[in-house]
Amino acid sequence: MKKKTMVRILAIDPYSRGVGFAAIEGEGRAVSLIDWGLRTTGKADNRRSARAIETLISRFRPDILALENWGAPGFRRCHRVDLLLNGIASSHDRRLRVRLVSQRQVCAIGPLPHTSTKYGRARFVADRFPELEPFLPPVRKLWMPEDSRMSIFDAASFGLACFPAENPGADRPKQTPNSA
Amino acid sequence: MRRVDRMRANLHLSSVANHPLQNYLRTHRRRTGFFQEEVAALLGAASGTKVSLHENFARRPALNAAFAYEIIFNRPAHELFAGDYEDVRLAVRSRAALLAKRLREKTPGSRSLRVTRKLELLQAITESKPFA
Repeated sequence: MKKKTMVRILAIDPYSRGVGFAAIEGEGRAVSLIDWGLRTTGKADNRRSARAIETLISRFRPDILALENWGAPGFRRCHRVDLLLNGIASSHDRRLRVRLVSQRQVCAIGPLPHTSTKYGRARFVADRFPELEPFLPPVRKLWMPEDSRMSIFDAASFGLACFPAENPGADRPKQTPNSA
Repeated sequence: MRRVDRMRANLHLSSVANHPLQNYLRTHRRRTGFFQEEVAALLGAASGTKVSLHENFARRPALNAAFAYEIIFNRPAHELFAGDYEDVRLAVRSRAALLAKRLREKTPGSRSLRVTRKLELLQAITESKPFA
């Protein structure tokens, strides 16, 4: 039988004024959230964001760094975030594995179609980790900008997508509206 | 591409993986919803600075504070201070192996019941596993 080892994942999701993060630790099916939050940089600045990410990495010393796959279909972020993710992914040392998570994999963290929307995924993550419940933003209306706290939930869903036991539907065919 | 290269230069990412964090005080505090000042008040400290230092691994809590954390978060100390516990466990394990070796060298022939018992205990310490 293969021995299970504890894995610590640091998931990062940049937003307009900083980065959202979630540190998840787990062994097989026992997954727990160690820390979560936002690191604000004041403005959209990749250098400051990179510094904030570096601090997070030195604090949590993760096995895996989970980032959104900027090359996969469904990635709809600005060029700055594209550059930031590319920079982070290519500057890691050999001991730190970088796992790029596509939107399709993120949608498969929970039962579809509940996790096909961003809010649905955030709700799923809040149910999975009740400590995140107070941070869950209200449902976004068309005229509202995205709440920065959503970055925490996006980061947590990237982290969850890296655990195979937590991601039973990873091989499911695309069923998200974006996949069409 | 030049901007990416510049970013690479700014990032000196390093990681030492698969070892528990020194402590999980921040995790448990945030789960309970307490602020640092509130935990500090429970510890008997004047401000949240002490709690912050403990959470950021800048200072190791004294034994009294460790017991207080155990009571506040209702978790055993080996779970709250998992990294520290693991370090101590590994150090004691290697010392136990050394002591057992010395004992065996001292008594190469037939061993008394006392020495045999000690060697059994040391063997158990050497084979100890981390808490799940």
